Amino acid sequence: MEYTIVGKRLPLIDASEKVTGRALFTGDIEIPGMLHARILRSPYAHARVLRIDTCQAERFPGVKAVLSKNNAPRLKIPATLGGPRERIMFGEKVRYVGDEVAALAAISKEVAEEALKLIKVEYEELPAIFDPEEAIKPGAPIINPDKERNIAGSVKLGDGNVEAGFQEADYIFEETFKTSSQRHATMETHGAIASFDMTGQLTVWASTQLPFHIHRILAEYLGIPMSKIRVVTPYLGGGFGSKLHMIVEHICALLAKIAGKPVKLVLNREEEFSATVTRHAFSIRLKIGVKRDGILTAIKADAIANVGAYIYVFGPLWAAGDGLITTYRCPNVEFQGYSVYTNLTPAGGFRGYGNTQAHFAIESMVDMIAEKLGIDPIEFRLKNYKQAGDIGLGNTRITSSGLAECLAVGSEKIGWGLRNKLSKEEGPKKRGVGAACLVHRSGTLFALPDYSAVFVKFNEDGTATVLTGATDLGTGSHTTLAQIAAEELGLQLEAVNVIGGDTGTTPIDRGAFASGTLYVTGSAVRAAAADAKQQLLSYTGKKFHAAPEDFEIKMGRIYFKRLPEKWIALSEITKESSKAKKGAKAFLGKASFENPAAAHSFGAQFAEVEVDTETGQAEVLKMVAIHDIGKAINPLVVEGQIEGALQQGIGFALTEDPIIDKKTGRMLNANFANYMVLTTLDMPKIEVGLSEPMDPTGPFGAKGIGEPPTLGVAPAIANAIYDAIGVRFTEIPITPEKIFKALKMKKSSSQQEQ
Amino acid sequence: MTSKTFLRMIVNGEVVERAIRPSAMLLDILRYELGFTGVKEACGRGECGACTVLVDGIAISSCITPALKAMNKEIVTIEGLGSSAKLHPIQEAFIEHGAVQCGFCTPGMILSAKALLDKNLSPTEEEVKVGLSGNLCRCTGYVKIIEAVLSAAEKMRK
Amino acid sequence: MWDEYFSPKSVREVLEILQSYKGQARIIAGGTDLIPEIKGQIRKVKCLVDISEIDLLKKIEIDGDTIKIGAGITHSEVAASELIREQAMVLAEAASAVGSPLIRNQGTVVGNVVNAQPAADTAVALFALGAEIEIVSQRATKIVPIEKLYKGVGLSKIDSTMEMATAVYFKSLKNNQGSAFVRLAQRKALTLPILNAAVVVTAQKDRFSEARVVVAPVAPRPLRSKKAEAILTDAPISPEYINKAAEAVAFEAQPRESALRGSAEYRMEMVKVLLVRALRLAIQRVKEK
Repeated sequence: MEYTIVGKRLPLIDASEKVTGRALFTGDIEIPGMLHARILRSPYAHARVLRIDTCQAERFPGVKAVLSKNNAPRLKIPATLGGPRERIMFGEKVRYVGDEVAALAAISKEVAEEALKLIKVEYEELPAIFDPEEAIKPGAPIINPDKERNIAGSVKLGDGNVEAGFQEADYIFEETFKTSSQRHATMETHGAIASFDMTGQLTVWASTQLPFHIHRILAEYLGIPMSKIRVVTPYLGGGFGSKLHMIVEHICALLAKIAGKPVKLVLNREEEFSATVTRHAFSIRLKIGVKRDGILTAIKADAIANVGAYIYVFGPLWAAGDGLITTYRCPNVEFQGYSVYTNLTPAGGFRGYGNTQAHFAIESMVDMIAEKLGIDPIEFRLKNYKQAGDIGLGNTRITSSGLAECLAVGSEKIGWGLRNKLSKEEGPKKRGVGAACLVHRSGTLFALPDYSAVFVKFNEDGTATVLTGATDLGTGSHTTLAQIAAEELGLQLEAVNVIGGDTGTTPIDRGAFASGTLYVTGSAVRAAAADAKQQLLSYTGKKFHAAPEDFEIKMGRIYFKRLPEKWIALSEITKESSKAKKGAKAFLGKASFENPAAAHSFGAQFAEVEVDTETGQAEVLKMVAIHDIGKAINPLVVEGQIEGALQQGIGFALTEDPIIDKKTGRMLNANFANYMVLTTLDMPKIEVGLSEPMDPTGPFGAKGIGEPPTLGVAPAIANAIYDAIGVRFTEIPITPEKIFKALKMKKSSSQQEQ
Repeated sequence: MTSKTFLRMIVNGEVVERAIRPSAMLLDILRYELGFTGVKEACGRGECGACTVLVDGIAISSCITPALKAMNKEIVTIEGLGSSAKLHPIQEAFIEHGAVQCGFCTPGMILSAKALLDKNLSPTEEEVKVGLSGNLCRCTGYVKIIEAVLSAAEKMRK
Repeated sequence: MWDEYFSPKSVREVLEILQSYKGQARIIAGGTDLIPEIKGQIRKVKCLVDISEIDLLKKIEIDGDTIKIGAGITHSEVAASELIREQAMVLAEAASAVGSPLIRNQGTVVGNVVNAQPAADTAVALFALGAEIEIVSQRATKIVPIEKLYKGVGLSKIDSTMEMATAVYFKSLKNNQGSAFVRLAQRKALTLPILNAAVVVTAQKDRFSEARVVVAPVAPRPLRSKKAEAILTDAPISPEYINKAAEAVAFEAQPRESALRGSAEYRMEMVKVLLVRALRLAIQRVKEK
């Protein structure tokens, strides 16, 4: 279907704010009288905080508020995303290097910095543990006294009978896969400003992906009614999941309360890397049984998710299990997973949310299976991948799938026929080609509350405003939501503006996560726009003695369907209805929308990798990513999401390696110099393509794109490396040293055989 | 009482004269004292390029540049590029090509691109990549940024 | 951080300020190493003396076969200099490899030497060029071979509170000489090297006459491998001798275990690989002349 505005490559509606540097991010905002806060952090991975003396700091000139366990609430802090209440602000123990011990607010950053040094803390160091597999053993130091064996939670999923399934199998494959605690490395660090006015009204400006969650839990934590709080999201400099948790807002609010002045807290880069949240590091033991003809008979997966010092969310463990056992058709499946504490930076949400880690495991193993059976890996996937109509992730039915097209288009673009051939070329540099499939669902139906509300109002001059609680992290959601509203209302895009992410003025939104903003909030926008349009056309109908259905709106004109030469400017109606001295009417559309389904976004990603066998360096020469996202509301935005995800995925696979000191538990590369996110020179040639099978459940047929493109990168690269040098890597990141060592071992073992 | 010292520089075409702490960084003065919030602080160690400004046409990291190095020099921040009436071709290209997502790296990225194109209006794709290699972006994967710069170069050549 | 900041216009003024501050003042050129160190509280300084406004120091000159690079010349300027590209390719390559364009635009070649970091790319190249540094104090001017200037990691024999490095000198490469700079790093920009190596070879037909072979960071200073150089002196140009030389460097190098840059074993192996590549490339360039 061709639309006027939906489906068009359009620039972001706020791009001009960003290219001129005018867009204000949280750290750019200045409130008169504002104080600056800093957090005192633990140098130990595990210690009791015996005594803390803040007297000198309190007396330091310019310091207006100090918080420590001596005066902070002893309440458990509510978490976002259905996470458990576990943390107490400035608790009796610190559980990781960087854990919060105290905070203060002063008239300037420099004064705050100086005063921080005056806080005296007496620690009693405790033994620390950094390996989750060691942490669950008896005798390991206990991190959370409320949990045995450092197990924060567990998940068991399954269907059928895996033992019987393995009996049926002709071949059984078993392997352990490990992934890292990747860092989000958003360019804008976490930050918030909190300000109480004299009526007790709290306003919080926060760099957050979920203002409404923050609003709710802050109200609960501070013990004030929600009507007394307003959370505003300024421009956001990236999130990728790191801003799904309440990291600084509550500290800011308490300091503001004590000081009686607005308080701003912006984390520095070292804190951002080591004291916010990370991706869950996983260890997945995967066992798959297959018949000779390639049909899967059993999938059994056991996983340990390293949650770090505190558990913020259970979701990634469940999502990983779901991904492992649901992606492929198999009657007998079982997943057992444990979330385990260690004295490391807490893990939280990160684009892909457990499914990325699961995909590394299963998409690697599928290649191993295909090779053994002598079946082309793409054929194998086409044969076994879940299809439209099947029950997919989160126990929801798959409503559309473009996977076959993605695989067909992608395999041609990468040159799939070069597999097994490139590696035969002479010279120390070996090339290989690898692929991976992916699937992720849009939204969180059945897993977490997944609804959004939207207002759409017509202004008196016939333009329209969308009031949505959605936050745009750079994902272009304000633009695509405006496109949906404009399309539905029949207006030009320029006639629609979006006010977003403000809990005081916009209705509740689910939050920007789980690839659901467009999919869920988009439908809410469409419904609210349809509602506003209906009201306007009802009024129009009354005016012309016709029914609302007799009219349609195009480009700001209301056309009489039966006689298309007859039209009236929409602005005439809105002007009239707002100026009438009797019979005046406002047109305000509203919708509270929960999607009854959870569309699955599919994709196929391909990598061509060159391995320098002398140094072990692997370079991705080319990546092809073909994604099935239903209708692309804005292909320019969709492509940008895919390209950005590839940068993160390649880093995840090859270069982003959080290095933790084995003795102290401190992150040694908490800076951009040594935590290697890809620069312009490290990116491969990229080809992106879209498959657009209409999905009956998404707005205009759209599905989510935020997370899917992260899923296939690491396994596609690992598969390409295998094609190039015949070595299978089951742990990422695959660093040059790992490749070099593996090649050396391969050489010496083949020499021994001779 | 910290002693102050005198700094004079020309920022975005206007003379600025101030008493500053001698150990202030150029970032501190531009962003925190003069209010040019387009100059971002993202790492404080010269490792990411978000604080890029032009000093006498040369792109540098303002977070590790002592402010006094700017004495009598011409500074350009993103706020000095284009106007609300007419954007610079690089800014227009960034908008048109989808080279902006969250926008945090954008000011620094655009200024590095300007420094590149001011020296060489016909860069190869590789030269653009090298020119922007000190500016990190976590959202775009750089693809559309490079396209935008090449497109701006083409427009500017005409 | 510092209390005073001067930007004198002459070397004489610099020395006067240093003298009057009696060790409490320090020279800054680009500051790309120094400022992060001060900010990170690795160095403390009361007064900075900025030499980047001294015009005399902002020249790249050639006199006969001696090239002189002033202390105010940045990595960007060296990388772009046609003179350096033609006559001392190894230095231009090294300068292009430093950090990022932003760092290269401010950091200076001479500053790289004075800062005495073992893996400083341009310093490694200058070792291979047999460079000498001109050091000026109120008492005297001396010219010191670069190898004699390192005390330890980050510690130069040049006392930046009392004296000033004003220029670096080296001989331009002749027609029978070839050079190469190679680097192994985890990423293509904004990264310190796992290893870098610089070689300058003198060769005639199919024989080496001599070579200068340097690798870093495998010691507190860039390492010139005398053993490798001995092997290559008057040796046939062949894979056998190139490999032997590379192995000799690896043996002399003894890189340490590094949490950030890799195990000792891996880096030792990589020394060999890099040196072979550097030597091959340098030879190729002699032949091309």
